[in-house]
Amino acid sequence: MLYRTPAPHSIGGNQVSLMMITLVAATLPGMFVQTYFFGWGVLIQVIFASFIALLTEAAILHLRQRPIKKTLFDGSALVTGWLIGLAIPSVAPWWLTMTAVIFAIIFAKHIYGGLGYNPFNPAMAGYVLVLISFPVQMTAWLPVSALLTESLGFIDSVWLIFTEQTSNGLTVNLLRTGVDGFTLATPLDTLKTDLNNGLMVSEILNKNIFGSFAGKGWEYVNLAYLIGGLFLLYKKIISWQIPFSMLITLFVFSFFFSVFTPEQYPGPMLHLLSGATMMGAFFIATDPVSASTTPKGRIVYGIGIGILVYVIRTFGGYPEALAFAVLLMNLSAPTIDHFTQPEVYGHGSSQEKERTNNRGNI
Amino acid sequence: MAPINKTDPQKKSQDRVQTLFNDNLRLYDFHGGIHPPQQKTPASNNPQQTLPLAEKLYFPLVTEKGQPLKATVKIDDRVLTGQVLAEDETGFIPPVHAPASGKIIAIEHHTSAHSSAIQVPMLVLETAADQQWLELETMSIEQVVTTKPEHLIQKIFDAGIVGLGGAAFPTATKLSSPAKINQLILNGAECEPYISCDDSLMQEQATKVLSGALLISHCVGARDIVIAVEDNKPNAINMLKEAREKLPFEQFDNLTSLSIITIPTKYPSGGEKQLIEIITGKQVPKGKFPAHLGLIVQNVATAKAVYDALIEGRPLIDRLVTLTGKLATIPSNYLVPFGTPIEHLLSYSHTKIDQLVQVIMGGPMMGHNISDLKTPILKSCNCIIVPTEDELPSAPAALACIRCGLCTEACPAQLLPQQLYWHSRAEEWDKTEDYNLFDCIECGACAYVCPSQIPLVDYYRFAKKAVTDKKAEQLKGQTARIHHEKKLARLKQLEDEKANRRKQRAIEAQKRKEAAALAKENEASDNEDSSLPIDSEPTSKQLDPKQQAVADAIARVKQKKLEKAQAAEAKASNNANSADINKNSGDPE
Repeated sequence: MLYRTPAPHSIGGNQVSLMMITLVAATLPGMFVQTYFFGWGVLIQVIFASFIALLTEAAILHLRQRPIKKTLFDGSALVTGWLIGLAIPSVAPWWLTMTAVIFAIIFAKHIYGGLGYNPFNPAMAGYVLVLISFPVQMTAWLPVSALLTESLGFIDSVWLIFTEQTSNGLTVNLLRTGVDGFTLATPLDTLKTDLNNGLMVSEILNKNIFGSFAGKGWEYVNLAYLIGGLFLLYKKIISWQIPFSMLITLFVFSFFFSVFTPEQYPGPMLHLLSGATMMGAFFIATDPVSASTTPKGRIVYGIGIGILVYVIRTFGGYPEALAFAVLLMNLSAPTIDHFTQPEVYGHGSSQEKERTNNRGNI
Repeated sequence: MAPINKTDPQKKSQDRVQTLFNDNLRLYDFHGGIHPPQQKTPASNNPQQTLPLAEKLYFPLVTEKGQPLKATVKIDDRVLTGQVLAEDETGFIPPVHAPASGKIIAIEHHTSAHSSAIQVPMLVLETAADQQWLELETMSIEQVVTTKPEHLIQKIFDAGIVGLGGAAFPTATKLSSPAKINQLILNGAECEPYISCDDSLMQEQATKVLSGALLISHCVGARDIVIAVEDNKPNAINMLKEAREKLPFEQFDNLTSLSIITIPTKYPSGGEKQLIEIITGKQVPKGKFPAHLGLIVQNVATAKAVYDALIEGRPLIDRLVTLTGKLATIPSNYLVPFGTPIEHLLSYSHTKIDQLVQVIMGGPMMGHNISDLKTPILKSCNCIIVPTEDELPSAPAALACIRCGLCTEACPAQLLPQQLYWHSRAEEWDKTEDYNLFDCIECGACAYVCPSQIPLVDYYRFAKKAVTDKKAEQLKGQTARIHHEKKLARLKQLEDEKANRRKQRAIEAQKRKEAAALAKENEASDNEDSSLPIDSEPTSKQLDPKQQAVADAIARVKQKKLEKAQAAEAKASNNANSADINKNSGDPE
């Protein structure tokens, strides 16, 4: 029996699952550098979050009576879990990660109809939920391993995440205490607090948590994510518009502010290589479902995220801003799309001119 | 328009030829496009073959667009090769010619080549053993260039020529555009994978293709000719350039350039609008034809057909068809007479028919599946693909759209395929039109790149149909409303007229009354006036026979009733009597 299918009969090799797996693969450099600087907790969080994500997805698909195998292996749930695992502090308690992941899968994704229908980036929705609900745990980043007074092994990391203390009874807060007895915060956090306390940028950057360009460790993590992001661009999994426009905007804003008042506003290097900048630009803001879809719209969308990141980091209440910036721009994406439709073939304004020029010939 | 100086023809013409060959044109790019695997070999490398006549040839009496054709032959007619079999009474579609001599044996329903596989009536021609051409009227190039373009275009129409690139648009219609044409673009891009019939044609009949181009340029008055070939056909380009050296340019005084240019391989560079953009950098404005830009685009095979028609007088009765795919034992380009069932081509080329999984008519991007191997090959069919399951696997079930936007990047019409998809899916037809659904050329690039394997083009076709239907419905509704309004207006007019008449009569009656009253008065005063009795007399006379008839009828009915009643009475009394008798006999004592 000859079968009949609609044209085209030839299809390219693009596959959703392949795109998702490539995305996960592209985070590996960043993930390993992050693990190197911040300990085994990073890996444990990523694996735990991915496992919970897949489990939740399967359960929801079962409830919604959808084909579990086919949809589960599209890889989207894995990516959500994976990104939450990377974004959450490496020693955050297990229930925090689980809450973020479950919320992301159920409320940010399936409530809206599953993959393709979610207006918000699920990973960021889950992240923001726990950030707002549990600010203490969510800002409890350990300083880079080199600054730790006690070294933290794999077993201790597992203990810390699942029982909230290491085998010898150390809690996260004890671990975060530096040699001088002060709690060590993240570079962006420190910057914010110290600027509020009247310190100057140059003084703050001399602290031992800062490295050559930005926060110690963080700068290399960001560079590793940049490499992964460029790989994604090369593989055409993401398009250049969102990451480039976002990073350029962030650069421009931080550059101009720092040129005029350098002691109050840190320079572009710090902004580009701190916190979640690179991971956000290449792996989070580029989530196709919740981002703008038109080529021009993606530029607007990226610029929007860049501005919001800078504004919230500099003038807002939170030291890190990427999750909020992405969610706010998710809200604007449909409107941006509406106003940035590309010029269809033969509809252009140049055509109008052509029409009047040629009228004489007919 | 200045004629070439005729004083030193030899020298001048050589100089001119040098300026004519301008192959370094600046090229432009069109938006999007894809690079699917070419798969043109081995068919493109194998020599052309001529397919022998099938026993029976089939000619639909309905075109693929649904236009009916009128048969000009009857069952049992004997026809010669080149004789007209059917024509369009509206004069839009060129006639269909017999590709072989033989006998019309039937008009039956068979599966058409349309993607819906609908059954349409077809003329069945049984081919004869001895083949004889109709007498052909040949012309030399000198004769052609001195003939008026209108005559030539009529000849092109009569030869049954349509665009052989796949759309099968009547060539004569395209050539008779009222706009001034400056440039003829000959489309040898052949951008769709697998297809290589134009490649083969340019390699083996380059001179005829180029001569055809010259003839077309003469018909439309174009001064520049550009032949565009994708860079994956170096042999064709070389053959064209070789053939160009020996063309009779001296006959075509107005020609200023004949460029053979190589364009980068990218699907769909062979789309008319895309090719125009590549060569001129301009886009055909929406709703306009290329003639609007002073351009005309013709396929290379069409040019060759024009040459055959004008110079040799030979109507279009066959074409090159690529037979390819892993199941084709001898993949090649076959010269196939129209009306030949696909089955004949497959069995002649020793294709493994029992292993077929799908048969594609056309290319893998825009072609459609054929389910009945008896389907005839017609003018629009450029390729038959018989792939294995692994070669062109059926698409896996579609996943959800993840809005990745790869389709937007691939769309050569610069549309937003994804938005079109969401709105088509939601059946929001107005929205699909807002997103310019009808600018979609159905090239399939979006579906090709879609990571979720969504059959996007199918959604657009469905949406287009729905929108067209809706518009037809609206038009129908509008027409009905107009009719209804007109009817109401008519009724009102009748009513008004009636009212007017009534008024008129009332006035007349009034007048009569007054007149009568006056008359009475007059009578009373003067008894000699006899106008009124005379006036009323005709009416009474007229009524009289009617009244009489009614009275008669009543009388007759009364009479009948009376008779009936009497008869019934008589019967009743009879019955009573007999009952009495029975009673008496049943009771002896």
